[in-house]
Amino acid sequence: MDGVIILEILQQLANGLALGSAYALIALGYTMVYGIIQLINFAHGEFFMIGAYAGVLAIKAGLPLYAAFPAAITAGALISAGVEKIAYKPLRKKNSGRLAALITAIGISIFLQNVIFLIPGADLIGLGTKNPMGIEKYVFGSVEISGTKVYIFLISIILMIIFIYIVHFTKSGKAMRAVSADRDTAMLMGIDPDRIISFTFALGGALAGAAGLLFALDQNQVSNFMGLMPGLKAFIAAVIGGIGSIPRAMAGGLILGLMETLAVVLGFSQFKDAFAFIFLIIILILKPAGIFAMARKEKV
Amino acid sequence: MSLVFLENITAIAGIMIILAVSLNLINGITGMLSLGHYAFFGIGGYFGAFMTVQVHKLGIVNGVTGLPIFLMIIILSGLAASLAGLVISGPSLRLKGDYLAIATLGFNEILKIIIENLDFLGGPKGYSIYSELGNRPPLFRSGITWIYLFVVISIFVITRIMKSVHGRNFLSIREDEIAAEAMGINVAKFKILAFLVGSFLAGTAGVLFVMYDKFYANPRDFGFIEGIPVLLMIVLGGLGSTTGAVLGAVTLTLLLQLLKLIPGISNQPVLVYAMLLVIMMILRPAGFMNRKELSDLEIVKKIRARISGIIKK
Repeated sequence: MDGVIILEILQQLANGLALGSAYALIALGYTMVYGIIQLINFAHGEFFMIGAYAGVLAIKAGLPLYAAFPAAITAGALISAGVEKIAYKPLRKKNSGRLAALITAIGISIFLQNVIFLIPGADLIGLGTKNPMGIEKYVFGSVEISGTKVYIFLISIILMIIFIYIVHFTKSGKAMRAVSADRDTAMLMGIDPDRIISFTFALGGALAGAAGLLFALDQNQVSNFMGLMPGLKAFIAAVIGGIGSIPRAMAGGLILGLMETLAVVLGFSQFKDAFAFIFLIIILILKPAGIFAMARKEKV
Repeated sequence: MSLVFLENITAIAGIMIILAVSLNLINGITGMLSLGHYAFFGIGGYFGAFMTVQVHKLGIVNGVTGLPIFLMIIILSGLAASLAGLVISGPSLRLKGDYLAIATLGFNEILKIIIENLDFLGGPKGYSIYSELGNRPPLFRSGITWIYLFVVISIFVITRIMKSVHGRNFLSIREDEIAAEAMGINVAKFKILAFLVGSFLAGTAGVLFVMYDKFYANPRDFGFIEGIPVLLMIVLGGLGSTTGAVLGAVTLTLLLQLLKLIPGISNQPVLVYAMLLVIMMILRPAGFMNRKELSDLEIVKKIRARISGIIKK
């Protein structure tokens, strides 16, 4: 009897890690954009959705899976950088304040969700029954883990490693960290903040696009509202970890994914979204800077 | 355009005015970015619908008692919503800006999920007064008169608050919370007060909405996404201006309803208003009124001076 429970726990752990790593991918984009321009980019979930569409349409067009990922990543990066250029940059130039930026982000988000409707039949696309990942499931002794989940986890980890390499070991990454730390000083050092902000958006959008395709492969379908909940959840993950920090956002994503799986296992699957939000509100009230953060007084 | 269509637009515009004016008190005047206004709207709607069914089942409603009972239900629903407002004002004391926005958004979604899982309120299908009463309509309903009675009440209450001694306290919280506190203003008290008044009015709008035509409360009508147009209304009108909120509510309601008449984009009014929101934010973030009220406008001042001049003569 105990053996069965342990197997169940292992399987659910794999599900939780897969979900959590996908959240972490999206959360990275949120946290980076927040770190650099202090904007909660509500439209980030929609970059995720656009990436999923691009990837799924590529698969539908007959491209192999390894070609669908670049499609998703490129689409995510392009739409993200494009939105920044068209909507956020003019606001920044006019110094319109955070409220205006936040409302713009909500507007962009709703716009992108509904613009999909203009393409006939695109509001819900199924991938069909065949498993695009190829492998149905892995069997370790008597533990069966869905192959898609394993792939989601592995691909997320690989992408995160690439991402950390870009942020920490390339010139653009260094410039990004500089702009995030102090934009004016970075400018004096010859860094063009606008270019770096665009780059940050593109990088975040690329990760979101890849995460979108992973989600779509898991669910076997894409829909125009698919970005809403994962986007909000990833934001919650970023806040749980402490927004603005990359390793904390990843940890927050994994924690949230595991918690949600736990809620499903305990039989509260219809309340799992509510759990995430309750957890968010509790964290925000008790530790507004994230569970890993030290207390900090506000400077006047 | 038939008369029914005109009546419907007028009614929707009225409900939107109540929602916009009350949201403006929280978002625009006190400066707390709340995205959970439809939670209050929904609580009011559900509470009102539930109470309506209960009083009909008790059999105390007839032609004479109908009106006072309905008035009582509207007020009680407003109070129920302001109880939720009290709950959400707790986090507002500790959270600011974007974080408060997310917390209120989360509150709205939590509430929606809870209602969707309450069987006695119909669950995800919604709560139909018709079927609860055995396919009979309730003996009272809201209409243009009721709705505009409460439109006048909401505008009156909020302009009176703003003209009173306490009006400036709300504004000072928006401008600089720390400075307001240093000046001896009880910031917590006025934040809670803003949420209480705002949620009460939104709750009354909820009953008026549910009891207008459909006699049906649906959880899908009360999500935070559905509430975004109200945010757009107050932004369009100019955050912080009650006149602007009214103007924004009327303009956007007319726009959305008229867009439905145009073939081709009739399915896409949302797309148009989202685009409008972004363009508005980029070109004129101050909105129509730029925080001014009707009484601040030069032309109104001139007319007033002229009238008082005539009276003196």
